[in-house]
Amino acid sequence: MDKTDIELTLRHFLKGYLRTRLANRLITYALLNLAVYMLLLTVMILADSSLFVFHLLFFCSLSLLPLFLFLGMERTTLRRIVRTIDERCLVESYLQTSSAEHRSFMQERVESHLARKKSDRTFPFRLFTANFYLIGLCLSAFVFLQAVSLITLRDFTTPFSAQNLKTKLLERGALQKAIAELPVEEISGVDSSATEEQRATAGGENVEQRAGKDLNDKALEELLGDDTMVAKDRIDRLSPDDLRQEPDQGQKQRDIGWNYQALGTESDTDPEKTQGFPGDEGQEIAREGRGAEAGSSDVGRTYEESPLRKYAAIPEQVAAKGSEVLSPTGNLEEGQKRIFLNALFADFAIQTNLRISFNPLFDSIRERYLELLDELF
Amino acid sequence: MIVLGALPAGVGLFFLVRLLEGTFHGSMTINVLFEEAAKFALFVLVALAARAGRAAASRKVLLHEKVTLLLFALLCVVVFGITENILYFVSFPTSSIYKRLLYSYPIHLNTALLYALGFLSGRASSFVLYFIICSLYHLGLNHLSLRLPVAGVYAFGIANLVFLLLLYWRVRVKLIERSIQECWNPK
Repeated sequence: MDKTDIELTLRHFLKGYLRTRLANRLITYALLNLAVYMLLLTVMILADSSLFVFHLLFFCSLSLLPLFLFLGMERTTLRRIVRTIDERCLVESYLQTSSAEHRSFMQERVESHLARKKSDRTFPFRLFTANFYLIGLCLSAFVFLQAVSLITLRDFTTPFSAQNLKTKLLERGALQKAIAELPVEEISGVDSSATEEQRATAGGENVEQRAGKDLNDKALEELLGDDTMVAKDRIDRLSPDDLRQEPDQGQKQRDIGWNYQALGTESDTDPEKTQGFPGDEGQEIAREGRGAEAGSSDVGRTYEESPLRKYAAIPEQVAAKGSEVLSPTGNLEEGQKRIFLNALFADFAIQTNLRISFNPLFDSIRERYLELLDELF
Repeated sequence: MIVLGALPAGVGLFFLVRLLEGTFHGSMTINVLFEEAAKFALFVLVALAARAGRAAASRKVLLHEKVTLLLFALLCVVVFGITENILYFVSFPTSSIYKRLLYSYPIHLNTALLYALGFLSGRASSFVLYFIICSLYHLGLNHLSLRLPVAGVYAFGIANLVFLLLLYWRVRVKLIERSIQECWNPK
């Protein structure tokens, strides 16, 4: 190995050393800018700084690439590098001496040393310690950014875009401003309670229904609270009129729609009572159409629309009120025009008179029967 | 220390060039010549300072001393470019300013590295040659940026960055060679 070979070997070491350093410096530059970017985003969220400041600072940060390339250049000399590979100062001594005799004396050892070092990976790539710290800084900055974003914006900052972040911040500011400008009404306690009472509840009841329900509950509690016998007396005192439907309501039903039913009954086919609730409550519910609101969407709709249901209800009504006369309850003039309906209900116009009229024969038989009973007992 | 010294020098150099450009109201060619002449003058001054230091110390200037002077000149140009970038951003605050990081800014860095090669060669003729090359390179890319579409500008920007790394590598290899020469010829 002559002087040229030694020179080439040293240059090889130097280039390897420079490659490692250059890669590490570029990594440092990238990591530092990433950390700066995330810190600037965090500052933007916290301080609501302008995009102008953000881009200006990030632009300046990106412009610092030459500093990562040039700084420390004056220290990268052969002497420093040789000392890293030359444990016994053999190569350095060889280079430092100007005596040809000394160089020839050391040449063999230097050659073997450099050949051994060349076969090894003298400068393997490894990250600078500073880069590990920078990776930690980037991760910390990222976690800090996400935490700040989650607390402030109620969302993670997934897209790394300052523009998106600024838009979010502006939207949040506009929303807060709009909320702050909303008029706040001073409502007294009485008025608010009255308003709440007028409002229908989730169950579909309004204030009148609740009042009626309360009265019924009160009466029931009163009834249950009384002595058993007193309650029985009160029930016995109830006349059939008390249990009967008010005639005005039936009249109203006939005025509104027309259909066929037994007189004085409340059938399921009544268009105003389609939800299966008895009495006034049922009518109220039917008018308001609250069945669907209460969760039973089919109630009050399917029954009303089905003519078969109306038809099927007729025998039940006849059985229930067998002594009554089946008669049309709707508008008769309008009903006359509907020939098919007349034909349909013609078979049901049956005169049923189950009441036993006065007969002298039956009276004489009964009197004789009672006399015989008296004789025997 | 070098950075602190280069900071005011780079800013001063930039405003000096701006003053000249504002005084003469020249075309783009004239402005490019002003900029390149300022950088060229900076590197010539550094070379003269190294020579003067050697004369004063009555010894050969060591390589790391030369490299320190060279580094100062390079950092002055870096500050020159950053100042120009900031003023452009203040005048036109749009995200398109990042295009300068690929195109205009590397032009300044590349010309500075070319002057650095002239400095390391140690010959006046090399300096003059690099001045001509840098002026043509700067002027050509300025004209090209006006004619290229945006995608083309970015493509040229990447080429500029590659050129920057190649020039940087060349400067470092030159320094290694000088370093080996210094070792072979010890004082």
